[in-house]
Amino acid sequence: MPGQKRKYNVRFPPGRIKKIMQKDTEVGRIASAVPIIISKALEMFLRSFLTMTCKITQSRNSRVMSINHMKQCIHSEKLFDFLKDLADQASTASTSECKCQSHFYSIICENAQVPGKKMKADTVPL
Amino acid sequence: MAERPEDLNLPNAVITRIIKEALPDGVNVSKEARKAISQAASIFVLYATSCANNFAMKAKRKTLNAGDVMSAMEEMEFERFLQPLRQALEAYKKGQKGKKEASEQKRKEKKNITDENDKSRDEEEDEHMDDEQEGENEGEEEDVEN
Repeated sequence: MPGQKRKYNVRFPPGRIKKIMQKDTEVGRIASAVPIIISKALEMFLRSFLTMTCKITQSRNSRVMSINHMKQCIHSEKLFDFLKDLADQASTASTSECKCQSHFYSIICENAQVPGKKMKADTVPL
Repeated sequence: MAERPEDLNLPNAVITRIIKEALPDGVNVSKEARKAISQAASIFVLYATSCANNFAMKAKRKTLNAGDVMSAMEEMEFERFLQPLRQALEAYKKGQKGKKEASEQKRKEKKNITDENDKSRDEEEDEHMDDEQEGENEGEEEDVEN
């Protein structure tokens, strides 16, 4: 395709994005262009986040990006305030106890598998 | 409906790709950090969705559209995303238009072939045009009600 500098496979599947969006019970219908735009925004966000965290990694003379570098990045940038819960909870091994300020992380938590615990059996398939 | 944890996670392959392209050679990511990045991605989607939906609700619309997402990015202070997002939206719209035109063209061609076999098709053609217009509207929205 002319002018395409598209890196392969950095687009997120629209169906998966829609599923995540639907977790928000207030969301009704979603125009088809939306997951495409969100995918692009997500790609840009991740790149920013990674780039900024990497600066911290390198400033500590490390070759491996760790959770601590990420936590530091989140706490030092107002832009990443919405990730504060993730930063606070990330070092704890279990995600079962969530004292979350923003409820987005709790949504992720309740769907995360806790090691050693079986999935809830009370969800009955329709 | 049983919930599976993978449903809220974005594909690892894509995340890994983005990580590889964002970091310089020689820098790796710990396992925990990788998981956190994936979670951050999902949280970003939820946060953007919530913001965008507020704009839709304010405008008393039941359908979340691309404009709402743009407004959300501004609110989240990701203004520098707006330009590339607008470009992505334009590209998407063009692609959709191209697809639609291509399938309409095919339909017309098919019709022309059958028209040659049958003479009185005027009424049916009008009806068919109405169908196409409806199809256009439906193509813009997806019914994803909870």
